[in-house]
Amino acid sequence: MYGQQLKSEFEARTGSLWPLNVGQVYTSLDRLERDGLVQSSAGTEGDAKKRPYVITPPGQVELDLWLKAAPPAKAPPRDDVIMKVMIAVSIDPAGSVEIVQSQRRQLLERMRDLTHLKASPAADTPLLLMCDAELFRLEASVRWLDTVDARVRGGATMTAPQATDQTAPEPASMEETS
Amino acid sequence: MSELTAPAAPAAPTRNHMPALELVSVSRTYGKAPHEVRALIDASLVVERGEFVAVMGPSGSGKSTLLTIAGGLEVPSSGTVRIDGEDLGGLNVAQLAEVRLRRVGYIFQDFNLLPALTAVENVAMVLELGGTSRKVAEGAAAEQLTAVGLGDRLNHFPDDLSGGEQQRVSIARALVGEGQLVLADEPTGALDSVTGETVMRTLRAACNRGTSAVVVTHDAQLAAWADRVVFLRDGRMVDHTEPASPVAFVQEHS
Repeated sequence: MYGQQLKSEFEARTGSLWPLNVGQVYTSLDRLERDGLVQSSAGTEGDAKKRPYVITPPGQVELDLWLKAAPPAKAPPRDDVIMKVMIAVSIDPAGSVEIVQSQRRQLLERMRDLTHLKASPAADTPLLLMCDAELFRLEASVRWLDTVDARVRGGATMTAPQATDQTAPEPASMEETS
Repeated sequence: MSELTAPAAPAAPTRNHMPALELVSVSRTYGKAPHEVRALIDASLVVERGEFVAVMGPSGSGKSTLLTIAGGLEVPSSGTVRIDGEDLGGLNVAQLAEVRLRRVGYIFQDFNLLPALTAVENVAMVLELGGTSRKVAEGAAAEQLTAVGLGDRLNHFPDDLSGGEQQRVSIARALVGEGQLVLADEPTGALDSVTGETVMRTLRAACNRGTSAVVVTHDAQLAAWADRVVFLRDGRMVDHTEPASPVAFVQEHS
């Protein structure tokens, strides 16, 4: 398979959500070849764009491991809905109800559009699976908003935020300088 | 007969030109002050023919009360409910029962099918209760079951059908006859997500053919199948989504 072909195949199989830079594809192929995971056809020297690549047996093993491996645990990606609502709740818990509802409505509109896309005759399997993934993600946000709502309205579990401001001078040291 | 074929017949207003459902300033209060519970407060909603509306809200927000009032199962404390333009408040008990039987179809979370009757008998029963002969009723039931993709399951008993198939039988039962308003309470609550989607696709397709539906749910993925989502909180309608396509898929038969 050629680098350009690999790029097209990847994009077609993942709903065209993550377009690849073709230069990056060749850099990666070079690295994979160096590690013995792919092999370019024997005897084709020169321009990388003209060389077809095949996966090697160690490459197959590595691919299988990669497909099964969980992504590393890390801080959740920045989510604007979560960020805005947390700020709103910290400023005014009672007033945050309207902000929560505004976010919920817009998430539902987005979910509606994706559902219509999913129901359209144009939806092939990659698009269908991608719509499902996005719908579950948005649904999780809606459910989180429902929980925020319930907590804010319940009130019992709400406590004041405790900021840890590293740059503020210690009260003791302020007294010493005054 | 002649009215149907005469091209110059005046376009008299018919039920078809009325919204399928109208709630005008509907309130429902249970108990008496100071212990009264205001389940629904000044709720107004218009559902056009072919429109699919979802009602969302937390538990106790008035979702189910709204549905039972819309279907004439419960009488509002104040306000007006119209089905196909007919004011339910002006009907006596017998007339109301007639409207419930003929114009409104219900879909429940637990399907509510009679286990001793086959799929086709479950669906046909609605028409037979209204006085239709068994033969005609079963013909219409078979047609409706075929429309929801169960043409090969007509003589199966509910226990021999999957959950998704049972719910599609109850959709066929809701759609059979002249009733073109479907009211559903968490219709996919008991189903896994792919099966639930099959049920929603069936309901969506029915709305595309001109049925109107109101579905109450707390499930956002389910609500996303609707043209419009209305949000309830503490008995009040507080918000709604903007319609994506206002002329919502209705195909008029000329």
